[in-house]
Amino acid sequence: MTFAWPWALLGLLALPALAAIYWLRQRARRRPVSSLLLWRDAPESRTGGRTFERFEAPPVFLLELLILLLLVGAAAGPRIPTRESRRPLVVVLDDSFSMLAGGESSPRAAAVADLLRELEKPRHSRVTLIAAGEHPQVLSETGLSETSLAGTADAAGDVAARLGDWRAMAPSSRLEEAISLAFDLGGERARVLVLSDRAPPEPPTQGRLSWWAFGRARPNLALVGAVRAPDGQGGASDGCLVEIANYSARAEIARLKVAPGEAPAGEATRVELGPGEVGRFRFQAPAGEVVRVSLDGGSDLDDRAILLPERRRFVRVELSFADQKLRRLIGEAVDATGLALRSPRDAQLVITDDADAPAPAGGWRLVVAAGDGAVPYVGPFVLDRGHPLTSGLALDGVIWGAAAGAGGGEGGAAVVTAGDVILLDDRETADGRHRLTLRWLPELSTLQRTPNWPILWWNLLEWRARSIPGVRAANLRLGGLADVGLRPGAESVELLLPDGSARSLSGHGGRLEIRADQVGIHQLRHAGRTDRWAVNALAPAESDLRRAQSGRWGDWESAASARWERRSIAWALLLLAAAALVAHLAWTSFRGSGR
Amino acid sequence: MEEYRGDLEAGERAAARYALALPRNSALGINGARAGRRAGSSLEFQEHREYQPGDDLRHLDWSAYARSDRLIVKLYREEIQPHLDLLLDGSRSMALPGSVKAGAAAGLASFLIRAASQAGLTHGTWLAGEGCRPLGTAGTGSVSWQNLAFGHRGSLAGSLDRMPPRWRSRGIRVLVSDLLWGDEPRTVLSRLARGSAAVWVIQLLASADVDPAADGFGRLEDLETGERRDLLIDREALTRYRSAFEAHRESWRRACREVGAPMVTLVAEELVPGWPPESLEELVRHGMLEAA
Repeated sequence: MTFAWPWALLGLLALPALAAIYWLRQRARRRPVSSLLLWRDAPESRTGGRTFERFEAPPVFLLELLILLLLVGAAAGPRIPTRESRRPLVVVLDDSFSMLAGGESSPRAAAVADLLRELEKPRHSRVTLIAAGEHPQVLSETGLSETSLAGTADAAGDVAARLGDWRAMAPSSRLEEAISLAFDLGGERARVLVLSDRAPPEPPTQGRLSWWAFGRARPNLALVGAVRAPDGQGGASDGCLVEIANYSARAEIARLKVAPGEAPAGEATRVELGPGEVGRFRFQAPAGEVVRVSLDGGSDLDDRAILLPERRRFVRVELSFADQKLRRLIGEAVDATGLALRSPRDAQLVITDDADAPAPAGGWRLVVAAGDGAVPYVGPFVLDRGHPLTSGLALDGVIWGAAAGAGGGEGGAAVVTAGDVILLDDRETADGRHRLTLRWLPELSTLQRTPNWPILWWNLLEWRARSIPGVRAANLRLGGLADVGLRPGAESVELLLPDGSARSLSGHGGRLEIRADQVGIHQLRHAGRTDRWAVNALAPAESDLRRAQSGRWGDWESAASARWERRSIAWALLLLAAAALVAHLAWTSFRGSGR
Repeated sequence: MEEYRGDLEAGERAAARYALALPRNSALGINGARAGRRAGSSLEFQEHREYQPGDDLRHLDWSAYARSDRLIVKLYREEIQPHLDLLLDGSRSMALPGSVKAGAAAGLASFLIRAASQAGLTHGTWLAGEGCRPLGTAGTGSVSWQNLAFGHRGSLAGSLDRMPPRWRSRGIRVLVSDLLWGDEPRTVLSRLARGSAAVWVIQLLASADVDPAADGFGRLEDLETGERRDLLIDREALTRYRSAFEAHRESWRRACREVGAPMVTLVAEELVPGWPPESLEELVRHGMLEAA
């Protein structure tokens, strides 16, 4: 029960005052008279008489106490929960990894405990959990049924189980987006609870939002960057760079351990850092080996990093041209990308001016077709911006000479057109190979003299490289995307996560993008091949705990929200008071006329 | 008893100037000088009538028998000895604390007895307590009153029921009381009047009975019943009290008129300690007293 005007409860002071009045009347002066016969008609003072003398509360006294209590209670505006007071609860969980700072006493652990205590109160009809990471994610939209969430242990247990999905492994938390989603999901009557380790940007003013923070401001030394250079073309060691931040108000010495590293085993490298300074530490790691970097004594996610060997993937390219001028022109552009290896064997990409040349096994083919009757086109050019080849192309002002229909390639998807003339098309085969046709005559074109030329070839090599089986980048930050090319025919893929769990994925399409939402080494098995990548918690904003804070903001019990969920019972108290008043009058009248 | 000695003596002294007045409408005689209404044994011839069995044969008029051959008896007027029976209310209300009511009651009884003596009346005094018991020796003054006390908790009618006084027939009966009880006045007055020559009712009140003070909250305690009431004694309560007081007194007046008894109300505080003549004026005006 709550009170709309609790200050009215000061009226309860009238109760001892009433008792004092009775007490004083009890002490009324004794006055003997010859006979009470003549005093029958005098109005009797409403005391308890002899009953009160025995220190037993007389009925009128009890009635007056009751009337006072009821009137004071009614004046205070008591409100009781209504059936409608059980409202949906949408909990926005700060999913950033700063919620894990402190280990067992982390803000996340405290938030879970407080949330479960809150759920023991019978005022929520349904619970929806939203993890607020880089993108809001609904963990349990269906929540619990109204009957099961009546403050029972089972209900709390269900929510506790669902809270296990709240891993707090995001590199950032977009709470505002998650709160907006929470209000959308919950509807007009929903309460929204934010669990975070930071204070709200502005204290909530509406009664439906409450913000609980469990953070603790403290200094922190953290790894905020870790990269490993690809081994290039067979080097003996890789260059590594680690960034360490000192998020404190005084200078600190970070003791960095690298394994395997240049320092003797067990010894730490000291890095001196001023207040707020970010220091860099470079070292060489043996090529092909996994490198583990950690801050001595640290146990949080941002105190360690894993660096896997990075491999730059090159595309084996075969240039097959009858026109040597054209070969040289295209060869230079291909070499300039740095992604190509000239190899006539097992070519993964064949670039040719022979439209009838056979396609390589498993390889792609780009046919450069001049054709007869080429004319220059000055635009406007229409580009399929969704195609990988058009990324970054800007053909305004370009003169593109081409012959319509040159090179065959009918049935391919138009990538670049000039009017109804297809200048570049792409036809994908059932096994995932691509046959591209570039209708282009250099003598009538300025394309090769514009920045679009290297961009086009970079897009082609990059696209082709990405479709090569294997992971594109072996070291990712938390929240990044692991871009993995699958082996042809790998339809079923198994992903092994750092926490030991496994997940089956569909390999349709030849490649996968997997969001890095766990810290550690991920493994992807597909068609007898295993690709690995490491994910590290490297996020300066999350490692800086100086702004962490505890507290609660926003009150669900505000008057505005109370009107939704509570019903006034003042009228009932007033009715009871009136009934008690009638009983009081009846009693006193009876006492007055009974003698 | 000793506590009322002064009051008794003061009452006696005050009565030195007064004598009890005999009722004018009663045929009374003193030492045979007052004739009664009925036939009696005095020497004053009243009339003749036929003999009836039981008549005193000594009063047969033999001369008339000789003349008429009928038994005729001679009737003589009755001779009456005037007598006063004083009934004093011995209830607790007569000794109202904070008042001189008890002293005044004792003094008034002493006063009336002395006035009766001075009028040549014999007298007896009765105190109404658990029963009506004689107060002292009959015919003597208040000097013999040894058991005077006001401690009875019952009504006067109850006292009369339990042990009525041995009234002298055809005597004057005087009731001294505050009359503050709830019984019907006629129940008492009829007992007083039965066989009496006259009944006088003297209501003796304390000033607190007549005009109580308005002093706020008070727990009123009935001296006789012990009953208590918590009252706010304000102007309204006093108005109602006075109204009830007048109604009560009027009921006694009406009952007294029915039995031909004069009723006088005296206020104790006006009598004692000085017994001024003006305080006794009411008794004179109602024909109860006359100058000695």
